[in-house]
Amino acid sequence: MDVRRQPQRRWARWSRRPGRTTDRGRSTRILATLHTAAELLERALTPEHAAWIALVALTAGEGFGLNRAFILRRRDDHLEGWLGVGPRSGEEAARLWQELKSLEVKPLASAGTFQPEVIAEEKQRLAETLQALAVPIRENCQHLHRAFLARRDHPDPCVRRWVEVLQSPFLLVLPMVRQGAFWGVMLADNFVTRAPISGPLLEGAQTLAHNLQAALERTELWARYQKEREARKHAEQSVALLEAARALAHDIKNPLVAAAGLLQHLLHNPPTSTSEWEGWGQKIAEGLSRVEARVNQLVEELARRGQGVELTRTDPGEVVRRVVESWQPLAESRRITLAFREAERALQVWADPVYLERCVENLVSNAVKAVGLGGEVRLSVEEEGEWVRVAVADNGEPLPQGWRQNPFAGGPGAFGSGEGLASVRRLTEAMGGKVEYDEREPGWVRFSLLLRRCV
Amino acid sequence: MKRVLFVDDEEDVLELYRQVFSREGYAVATCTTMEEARRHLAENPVDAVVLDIRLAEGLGLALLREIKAKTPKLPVILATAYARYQDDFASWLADEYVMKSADLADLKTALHRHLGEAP
Repeated sequence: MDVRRQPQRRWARWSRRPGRTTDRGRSTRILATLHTAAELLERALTPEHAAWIALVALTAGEGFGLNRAFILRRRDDHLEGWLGVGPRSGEEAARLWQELKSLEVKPLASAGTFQPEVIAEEKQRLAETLQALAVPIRENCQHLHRAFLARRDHPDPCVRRWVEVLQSPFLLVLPMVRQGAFWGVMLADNFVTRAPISGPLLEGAQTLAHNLQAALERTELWARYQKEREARKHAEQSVALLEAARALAHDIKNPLVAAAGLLQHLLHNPPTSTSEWEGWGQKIAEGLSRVEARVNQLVEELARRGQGVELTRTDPGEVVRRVVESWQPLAESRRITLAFREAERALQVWADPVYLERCVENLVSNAVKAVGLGGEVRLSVEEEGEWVRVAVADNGEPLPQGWRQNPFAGGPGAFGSGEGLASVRRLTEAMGGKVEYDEREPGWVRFSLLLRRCV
Repeated sequence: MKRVLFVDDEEDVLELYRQVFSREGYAVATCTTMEEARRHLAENPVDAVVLDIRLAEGLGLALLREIKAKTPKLPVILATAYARYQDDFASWLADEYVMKSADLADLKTALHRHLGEAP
């Protein structure tokens, strides 16, 4: 989770009623909204963020300017209310729009920043309406394909229900289809202003729904890829742990069998002299000491592997190069320059390659989110005495002032969850390293991992 | 006197075998490596082999295959800390599969059975 996001007012989301505009002006605004939304959707990394962008584009004053909007998505045999944006009543709308006006907020401009806590709050606020909009899929709504305006007397029972729940004068219905099958629907209306919805706006909203559908498919694929990757790492770690336990258990069992077996044998066949007893006692004691040593080794090994940290001589350049290569396609799609400056000579650090890669990935992910379209992210590996600095710098938004002291702290006070950077710190420290944040170069923020150089 | 070869990379385990099975009336020979065991088998007559699976130089199953290829009737008893090799086809060549334990009763019974002796 990136922490360098300027907090925004939760209310700064929905539209004001647009002023009187000409058809030409209206069309221009629709095209501009579609253009902005497409760019923002391209940057979204989660389905929820993509959906949020589309809802803001529908409702922002500088967007399509509708009063409120909702997304329902298919879940097995029913449509569930997923997300929504907008006031719940005329009074609430008047208050909020006044607030928006005084703050001069442009919701669409800030929708590119993923703020899950804002989305969650809005979802919570509209929970009752979202729940009321849910319908079983067996009704005819799955045959909806094209955008349309609905009234109270619409023939489809799903649509009639939505109009009734929302008390809409005219409900804009934007069906979303995936691979030929009904996936969900966006709903929007002007329930407060009762402003008519024009033909060009209807067409524009349908295009927006198509763009959202593409973004949802892309972000869902990305999320699945990340999840599978994480599961694979856990599986590899479990296998390694099991193998270590197995090998060490074998090493323990042999001397234990020998010592206990010899003792039993001696009890049944007692030696005749004291010196013979002493000789056997010595052998058994040695065997048991070996068992103790192996048990200690087992405990240490399991503890080390339990933490998942196994320090080996690692080439940080190779790890960084791998991460850069894996992020390059995404960076290119957003016109982000992703550059890597290698160390002047070959370097090795004490690190767990898997954990080092995870740390670098986390920092690159944050940087890519922070720079937006056309930004720049620079990675470098350089020697600093007994340390090697692995740095990820970007020219995106700076951290909020309060976070600059210790952005790696994480915990409940962190902006967003802050857990990404906290995890980077924990892993780096587990590898015997440390983390740093600085803004030495004007306009750039830099996160560094300092790892012990292998001498 | 029946001659039994014990192969195990753990010297203390071999010491236990020597102590126990000598008293049982066997002529006990011990080897810590597969190479040593091959030499012993080539040069000395043996009535049974007790073989560990995990040896320092690799899996004793390879030696089991060699013995069974050359002398199919020579009884080979696998004595190992692992139960999981019981599912390995290679281990099925053995005449008996015994879990290593401080209590050698199972191994004694297996030897008696395969050497045609009364328990």
